Amino acid sequence: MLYIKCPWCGYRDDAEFHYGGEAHIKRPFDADSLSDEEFSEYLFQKSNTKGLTLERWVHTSGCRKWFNVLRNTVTNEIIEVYPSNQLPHSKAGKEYYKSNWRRQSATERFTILQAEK
Amino acid sequence: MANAALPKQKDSGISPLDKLIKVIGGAKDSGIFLKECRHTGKLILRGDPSNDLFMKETSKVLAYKLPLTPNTFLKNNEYTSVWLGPDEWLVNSLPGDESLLERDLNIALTDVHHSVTNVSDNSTIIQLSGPNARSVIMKGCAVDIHPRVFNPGDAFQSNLAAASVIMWQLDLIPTFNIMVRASFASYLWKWLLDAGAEFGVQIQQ
Repeated sequence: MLYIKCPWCGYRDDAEFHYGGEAHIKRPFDADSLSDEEFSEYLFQKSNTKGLTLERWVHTSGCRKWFNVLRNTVTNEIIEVYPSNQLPHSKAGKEYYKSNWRRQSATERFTILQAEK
Repeated sequence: MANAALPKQKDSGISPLDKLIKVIGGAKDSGIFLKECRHTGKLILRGDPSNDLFMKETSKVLAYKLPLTPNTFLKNNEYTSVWLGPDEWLVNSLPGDESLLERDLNIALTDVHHSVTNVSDNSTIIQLSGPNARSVIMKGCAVDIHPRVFNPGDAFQSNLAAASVIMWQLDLIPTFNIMVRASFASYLWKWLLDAGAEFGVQIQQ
């Protein structure tokens, strides 16, 4: 069982939360410029790591707000909880975010290119 | 239309617990006192607390500022405001006053991005009181309500015996108000009777 610290309500039982899948999946800025294969990276490919993972949770039975969690899938240790509109702050979180394969995926490459224009 | 006097809403006489609460009474030295706060007005108020105008206008209507500390509530003789989220509050009024309060809030907040929804009949409030009230809640809820961390003025949203509830502590007896959906009310009432049986239950009007 997990004991999750909601950024608003504090520590609560995991029965109050719902899992929202992988965090930081950016919607492609210009989906038309992607091939089907590249778009599938955004739509279907999910990280399934052994060890650290960045994921989204929602406090369904409480304040119903979404937030992000850095969790170790082996030990279930929750290293960091941070707002859903931010990137991880901890060193481990930053490193994991940077090294995630998604940062190199075509989806994000195009997103960043478009943003620079 | 806005200024037309709204008639005070009449008690329809129908409450989700009507069929259950037939006998009033019980031993005086009971550990638990249960009653239903019939037809309390309930509004869901949403708005941006960082907007000064929103805070100013709501405090004019309620006569106090909305609580901004998570999981707390504020009250005066008329209105109780419970923090539900960073931009969401539950405002309770006296029975029958909800339409007036809804109108007053909407008029006061005309120029502010907000929403007021009357959810009075969506749920009911069960008041659980008595020296053993805490023990009863602890049987069905994982939130820490020890007086070290939970006192009058504190509130929380969680599950009580798997039913989703909003709960706030009124005084040191302790007395808790438990707001529960109408469809779960009879189940929760029965559960409270069962959970409180070992302490003795007195049902009040």
